[in-house]
Amino acid sequence: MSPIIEFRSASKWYGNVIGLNNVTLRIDRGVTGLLGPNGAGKSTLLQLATGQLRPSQGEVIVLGRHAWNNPGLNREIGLCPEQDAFYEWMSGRRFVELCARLAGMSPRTARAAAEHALSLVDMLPNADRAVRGYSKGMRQRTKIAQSLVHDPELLFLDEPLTGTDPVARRELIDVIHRIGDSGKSVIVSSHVLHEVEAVTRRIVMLNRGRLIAEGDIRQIRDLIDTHPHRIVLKSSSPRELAARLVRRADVVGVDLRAKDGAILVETLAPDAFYGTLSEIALDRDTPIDEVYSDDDNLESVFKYLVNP
Amino acid sequence: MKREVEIAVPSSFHPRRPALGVSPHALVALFELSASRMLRGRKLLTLSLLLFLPTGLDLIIQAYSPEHDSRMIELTLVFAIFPQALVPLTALVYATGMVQDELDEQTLTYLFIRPIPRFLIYFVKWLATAAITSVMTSIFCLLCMLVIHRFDLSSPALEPSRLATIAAIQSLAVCAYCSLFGLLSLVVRRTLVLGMVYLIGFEGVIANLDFVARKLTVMYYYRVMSIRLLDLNPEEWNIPLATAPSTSDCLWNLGVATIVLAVAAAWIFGRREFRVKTPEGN
Repeated sequence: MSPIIEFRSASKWYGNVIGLNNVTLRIDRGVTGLLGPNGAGKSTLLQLATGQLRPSQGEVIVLGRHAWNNPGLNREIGLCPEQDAFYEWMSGRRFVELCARLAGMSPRTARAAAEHALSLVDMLPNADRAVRGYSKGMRQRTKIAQSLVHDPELLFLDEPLTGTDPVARRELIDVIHRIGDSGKSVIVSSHVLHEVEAVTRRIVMLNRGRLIAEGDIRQIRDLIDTHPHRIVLKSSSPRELAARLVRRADVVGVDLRAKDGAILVETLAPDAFYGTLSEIALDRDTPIDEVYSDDDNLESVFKYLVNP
Repeated sequence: MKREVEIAVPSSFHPRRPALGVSPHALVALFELSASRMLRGRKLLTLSLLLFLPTGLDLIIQAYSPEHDSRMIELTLVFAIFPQALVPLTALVYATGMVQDELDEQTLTYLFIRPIPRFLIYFVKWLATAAITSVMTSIFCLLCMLVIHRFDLSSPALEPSRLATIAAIQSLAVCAYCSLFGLLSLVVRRTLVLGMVYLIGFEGVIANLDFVARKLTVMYYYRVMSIRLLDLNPEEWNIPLATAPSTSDCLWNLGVATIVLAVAAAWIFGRREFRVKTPEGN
């Protein structure tokens, strides 16, 4: 099966800043989550895939065609951008109608298509109000409606759940499920794991412009959990603390650093370790003055995976 | 987002692939959008007040000096202040904002993700900008003419053909300025400042000197056409009519310059990346 999106050693630089770093990626049909912390390169990846940006290096192929500056491809794709931007003076209905007309529909068809798209996101009751008066959730839903209005085969949703209340979030997730069930492909970006998990099991993870994992979300969780996390502890009684830590089953390594007297702990269960740390710290024999992660990269991944 | 709403849409919602690759509906929608952006907001109010200034000035003159020379006032307000200051300034403000406003307001994305070639996006926006600027400046200029001549429609100065000629020559200048400033906004930063410097230094000073460089200014052709078609005095602008280009040459030169500059800008717009800032990127 040919992929709907293919990145071939694609990189994107903004001057000296790397937006996306040598990413090779194939995304098949269906719903895929794009996960990564802020600044990971998710939006750059989506802007490359929707042809708004030209890859500095490599190729970006979407639905078998080069994505950059390919207006014909825009008939088949829809984008709900991350930025909260609108033609503020318009009503939601007029905005979605305009997007339908820009997609090539006649005014009459655009009216009907806008009506349908707005009904999908439950915005019909507020469709005739000016966008400038909308709540964040309503704005998000209107943006999704404009991305759906021309019935694209492939939909890109950049942080679609941001700012929505729990009820709207649940409903939007439901809409995304139904879009996926209807045979369309959806790429949903988010920096929150449970949001992506609620939408799909298939994820692509980015961090600092690099592809760090792709596949089933359970495999990625396992991957994270089998990788030891390095945590640094500082204590006025480092030897006593080290002796106590080495007896713990969740600790796979303890190193007493000569240069600053800190203890470097390696654990496979960072959640459990952090959870019991306060108990150790309360012990008079093993005070803990400072705790921090020694592995920024992994920590950020970990943080976004486990503490959404 | 009710469960009963079907995701599947009627086939009539699928935009047909037009024969020429671009749907005329899309281009009309883009034109309307570009025009409606210009016809709202503080920018419109400020420019309208500015364009009303000559009319207001004439009303004051009429109130305090009823015996004033209408022809002299017309020359100063309609053939000096309008073409030298107000028309280029309006074109500068609108043409530089044509892309930059969409970029600043992060709405350019909504245009780039539609099946419209980028060069056509620019061209349609240029067309809308030139049309609205022409209509606006013409309306205020004609209003000024009517006020100067006290709405005396029997006056030869207010003959419809004369008014139409004034509006047409002014609109030609507007198109040239829109092309120039539109291109400038794509290749340099601080276009407003640079545009002002250009207007004062080039169109303001060089156009007044009897030197070959004046033939590179829009103002020169505006004046030559005004002299030839409206019987104005060539000495007012120090233009020897014997060596000045004919009306058709003026039209040709301005027209070619307008088209070349607009095509160059559309070409740059079609190839350039516009990175719309995202909250993440910010």
